[in-house]
Amino acid sequence: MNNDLHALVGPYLVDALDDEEHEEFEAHLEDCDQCRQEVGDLIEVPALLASSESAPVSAELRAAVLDEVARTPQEQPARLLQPAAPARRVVSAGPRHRLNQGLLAAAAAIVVIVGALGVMSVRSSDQRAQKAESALSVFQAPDRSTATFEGELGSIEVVTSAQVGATVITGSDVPALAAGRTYELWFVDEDGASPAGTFTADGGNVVHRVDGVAPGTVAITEEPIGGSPQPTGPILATATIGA
Amino acid sequence: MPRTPRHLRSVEPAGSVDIDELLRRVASGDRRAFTQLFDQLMPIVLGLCRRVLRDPDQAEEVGQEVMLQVWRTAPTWPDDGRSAKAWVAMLAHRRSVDRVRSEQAERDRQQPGQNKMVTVGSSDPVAEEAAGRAETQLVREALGSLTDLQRQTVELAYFEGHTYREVAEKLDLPLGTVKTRIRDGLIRLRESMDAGSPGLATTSPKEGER
Repeated sequence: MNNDLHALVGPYLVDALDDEEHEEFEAHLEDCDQCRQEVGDLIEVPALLASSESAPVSAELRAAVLDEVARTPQEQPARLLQPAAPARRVVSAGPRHRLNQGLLAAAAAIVVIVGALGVMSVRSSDQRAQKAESALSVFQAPDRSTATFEGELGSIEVVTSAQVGATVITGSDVPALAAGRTYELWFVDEDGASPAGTFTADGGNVVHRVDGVAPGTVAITEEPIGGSPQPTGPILATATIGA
Repeated sequence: MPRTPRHLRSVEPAGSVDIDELLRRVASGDRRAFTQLFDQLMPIVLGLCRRVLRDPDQAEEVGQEVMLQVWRTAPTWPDDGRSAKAWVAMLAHRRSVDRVRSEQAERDRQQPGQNKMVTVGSSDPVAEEAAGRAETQLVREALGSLTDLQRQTVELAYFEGHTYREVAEKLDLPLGTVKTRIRDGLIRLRESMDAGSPGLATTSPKEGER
């Protein structure tokens, strides 16, 4: 056993090796039972360290991630992508291939998603790219307006942006509806209410995005599944933007 | 008119939910489970990213990337003996460290000679926000049980993203000393976890939630 390498167990576990040594140590791990055992014994400790820190998660960040997840397919082990770009390390994609092939491929894919989240032009040829702009771009739009719904539906907010041309509502603790029923969002102006999409409360959570800028008032009703062209149920909550 | 982000209610203690089970459900495409997993782990992911990156905006960006990576790659969750929480923490840590190092490399390229790490004061931006969490407190106590050298080396490496060589340089210690202190520190931390501080174990019993 190489004593020098053996002593790298600690630095390895806290990601304190440079790329070269990391690779070297992972190769060593395959041959050294003792190191493997020791790494296994300590593998939960870094997560413990991580638990000493926690930061509050804003509703916007939460909604953006959940929204993105809703349109992001998962990677299946059987059809791992080839890494399309150096993913984990900016400097070199070499290290960690051995043990983290799948992770790398996934990370490469993530680069695409992140690109989509950030600039949105990465997958512009893809239909879904337009959709991917959705929530996050609305939350980040400099001209966004936000309002909170009043009513009995838990905590729901609406964010709208003329620049993006879209509106998002996000909520938590929203009651689930009976089977066959759905929530419907309405844009309300002097001409009346126009439908702005239906949504459900997934585990109490709502993330709903719709094209179009919300007028001064938006409202939510309960409707039969599929939605209605005109509201048929009582108004459950309303929000006034710019109030 | 933009307004200050509203913060969600504080999360349930991590011990009250079986996070491994959540991740297994996420792996089968269960978005509801992902929402729960997110609520359980994102505060930790974000806290860690903030600690390493020292920039709330970058931390949000990286935290977001990490959680999307979790969703996307859950079906390929490597069976390497790591718990779900440890796996997610590892993803968050590596991604944060990678970013810190590539930025450092970029700075070095532009300004050779000014390549020493930024010295950080003892101020801890997330301390207040984190103070309420019992688990956080217990881990901090466990950290307090390390010798100064163990704690310093572990913290510089883990929380500030330094390689052990940089740690050695920073503390003016031999490389061998730093390597062993980090390992000893981790062993000591595991011992205090095994000693059964409630809440440190990943599956501590907690009365039913919601």
